[in-house]
Amino acid sequence: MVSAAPVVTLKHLSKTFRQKGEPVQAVNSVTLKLNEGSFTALVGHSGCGKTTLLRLIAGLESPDEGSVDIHPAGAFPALVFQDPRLLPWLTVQKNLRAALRHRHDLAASKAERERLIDESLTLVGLESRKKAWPHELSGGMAQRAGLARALCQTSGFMLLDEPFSALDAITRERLQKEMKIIWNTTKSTTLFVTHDISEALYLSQRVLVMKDGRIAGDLHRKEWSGMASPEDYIKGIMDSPA
Amino acid sequence: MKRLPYPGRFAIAAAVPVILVLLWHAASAFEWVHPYLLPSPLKVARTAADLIQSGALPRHLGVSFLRIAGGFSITLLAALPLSFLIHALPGVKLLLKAPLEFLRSVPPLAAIPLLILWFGIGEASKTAVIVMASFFPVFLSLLGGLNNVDEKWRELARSLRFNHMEYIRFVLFPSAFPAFLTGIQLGVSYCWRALMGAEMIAAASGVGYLILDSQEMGRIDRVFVGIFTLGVCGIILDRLLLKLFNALVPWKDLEEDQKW
Ligand SMILES: Nc1ncnc2c1ncn2[C@@H]1O[C@H](COP(=O)(O)OP(=O)(O)O)[C@@H](O)[C@H]1O
Ligand SMILES: [Mg+2]
Repeated sequence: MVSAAPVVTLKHLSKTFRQKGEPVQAVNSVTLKLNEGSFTALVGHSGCGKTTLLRLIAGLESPDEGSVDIHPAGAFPALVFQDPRLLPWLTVQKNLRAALRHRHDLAASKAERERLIDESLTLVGLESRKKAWPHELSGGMAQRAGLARALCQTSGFMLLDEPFSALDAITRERLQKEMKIIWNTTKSTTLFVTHDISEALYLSQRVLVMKDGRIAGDLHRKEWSGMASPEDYIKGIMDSPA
Repeated sequence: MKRLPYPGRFAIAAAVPVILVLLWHAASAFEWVHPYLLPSPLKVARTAADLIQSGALPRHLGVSFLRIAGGFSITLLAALPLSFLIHALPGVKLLLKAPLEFLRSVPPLAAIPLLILWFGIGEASKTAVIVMASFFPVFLSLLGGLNNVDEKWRELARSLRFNHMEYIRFVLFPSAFPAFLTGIQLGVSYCWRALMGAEMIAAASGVGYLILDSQEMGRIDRVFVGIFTLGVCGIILDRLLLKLFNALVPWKDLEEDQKW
């Protein structure tokens, strides 16, 4: 029972921070739409505003200008942070349980929630570690648990902020494969932030290229599949002079 | 320093105490100091054995423990809600900050004359000294724990749409729990050290009483036994609590901050 995947519409979204009195425009008039059940990657150099954009969509940051519209209203994303961010005083299973408290559609049935938790843990290959404490997990396992926590929320809407960037190459590759399978089964509306272009191309149907707070490029799979080297093309956008 | 193997480390750690006892023995054997002022270690050991055998020392120790338990319970009962209220309600903090800062700066010993006048020379004034000595370390650790929840957990709580109660249950209290345990451990050791002051108030039993009474009776050997009892039991109590508490927070090593 996966909730319907929402549509996300951003209009002229802007956010400026102050650093030592100087304004830093992290997100600059971003307008875009994430279609229902689509997988979009957001790439760009470090500091270009990816995390800020994601946090604006998640409601963790309020915009200076513009709007975030999520339809149906009341839907909210399941987040995967760059760090696993498991509450250290709860076992893996209890971390997942805590995440389900405000998925109201599920509040009725405890058995249903437990089934979702078990399913999500199985999906990321952690079913045998559900009683483990976060500090007992390796980096890759902890990140998997963080992913499972987002999955079990079955919100149909996921935001991931460089979830695999802190992992070693082998673990990262394995999780990328799993991510792809997972999205194919859940078809959540997904925004996946990464600075790894090949990861973006491998996982997504659409790649947004961010540069200095703006969306500087917007490519669909059918556009780049014809290209000799989509990596170089995207790099070109990222590195073009302002 | 490289970690030595266990026997080596033990030898080094034991060196100073052993040398001190030897010096002590020499000082009393050769009467460098008047024997009245410095009984020999053997005599002190024999006195200790007698006091244990007669049941006097365990009885004094028991009384002292009960006093600490009583005083410390009051400290906890006051510090728990107060720290929470001050954390949660800025108004309460504003209201109580000045008086609390003042009380914190008053040494419990300085308050004893007043405590005796108000509470008499019974248990109440002794308890009050113990409460005064332990309240602030406990209260301040608790408040520190509540005030220092890592931003990343607050952010997670917001992303999961926790309400106030859920935030308190899943984030605030567990995050502050290690500081709470450290506060208890610290508080108990403060109580232990305040015991002497408390039992200076017309006590008829307790380790503090044993020391004072023995001094008046000219039994310096017993004074020594009393002091050793306080020191050794203080260490044991502290270690015991630390081990116990560490087992309660598997995600954190409480000893880490206290090693030296
Ligand atoms: N809370 C903040 N306070 C001040 N500046 C910030 C804050 N968050 C982000 N920034 C600044 O905004 C810009 C974009 O940051 P971020 O969104 O984290 O980029 P990215 O995730 O693409 O690396 C950077 O210059 C960063 O220093
Ligand atoms: Mg970032």
